Amino acid sequence: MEPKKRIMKERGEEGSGISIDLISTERLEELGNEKIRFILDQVKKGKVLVLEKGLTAAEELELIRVTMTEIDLDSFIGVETPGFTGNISRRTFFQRLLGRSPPPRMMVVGPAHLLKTIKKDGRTIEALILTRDEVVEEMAQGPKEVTSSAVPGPEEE
Amino acid sequence: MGILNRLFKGVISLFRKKQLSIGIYGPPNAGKTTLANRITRDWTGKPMGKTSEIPHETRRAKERKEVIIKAAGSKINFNIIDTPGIATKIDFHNFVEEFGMKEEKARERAKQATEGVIEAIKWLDNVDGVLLVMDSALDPFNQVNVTLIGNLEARKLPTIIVANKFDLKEASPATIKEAFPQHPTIPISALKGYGMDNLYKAMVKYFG
Repeated sequence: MEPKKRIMKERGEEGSGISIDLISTERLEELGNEKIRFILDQVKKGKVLVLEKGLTAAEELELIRVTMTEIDLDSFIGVETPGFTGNISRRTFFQRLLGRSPPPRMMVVGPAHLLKTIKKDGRTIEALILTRDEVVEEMAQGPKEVTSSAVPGPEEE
Repeated sequence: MGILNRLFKGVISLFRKKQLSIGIYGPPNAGKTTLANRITRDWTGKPMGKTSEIPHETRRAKERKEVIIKAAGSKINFNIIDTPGIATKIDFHNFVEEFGMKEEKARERAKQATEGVIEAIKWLDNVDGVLLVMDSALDPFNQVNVTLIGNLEARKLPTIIVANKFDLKEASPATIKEAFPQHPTIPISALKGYGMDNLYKAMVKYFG
């Protein structure tokens, strides 16, 4: 059985929609040290989060670490985190001077059984959000693409 | 000039650590343990660990000390750490459905794999450099690669990208080089031993 069907069945989510929350930079900054906890709590509820300003590399690694401590094999298999990371080779003069990494860029975080990155390069990310409404239909017809998003990368802004 | 150069190197060596700890990192199934085995077989005569086509075969970090590599006229004593593959998700059903594993065994493997990821992340605090192994036949922009590169750069850890499996028909080490031009990329086949001389030269040059 597909992971999303199995997990949605375990969680009793069949037939309901998926919540997509857009989180502003201000909201993330307010969260401070609670950022990772907040993200993971929302994702474990089955929400997909679009972060206006994504996580730093260190925060992403922390998200992976905490996720690993909370995987329960039956109802939470992990996270999917498509997003653009600041490219260190394109740092500004002052970022180089101060030894700082470029700021993080937009990022999507969701539960791994619902969100799947299809294709990613430095400029475009294509992701698939599997909706709960389609569980029964997909069980009969196989996987079906519901949402496909192409997000402009750094060079296109 | 030659005397001055030797004197300079001698002074530097006084301050250099006796052994450099090099972590082998990457996503599951990139060929980390195959590479660790190749390196330790070449320089100590003994492999490090078991390999498998089933992801997360390495679930505990393994360390081999006194791996003395001689290349490009230099000799360096390495401590090689083979780390478990880093992943953002682990689903035990994959082991059952794709590899025919019994459920109980698959659950145990998945549980250990989550612990392995945590251990691999912890080891980042204790390494002097990293061999970041990528599968040349896969998209290099996966989130694990990007996150690892970002962390290695933030920690200022010398990094060599190992473009493994470059002998496969669908492999494209050039795509990896284009994706991460800020780091040296060495195409190899850890399984067949192709390109290993270039990797040893790079290790001596960038980690030494």
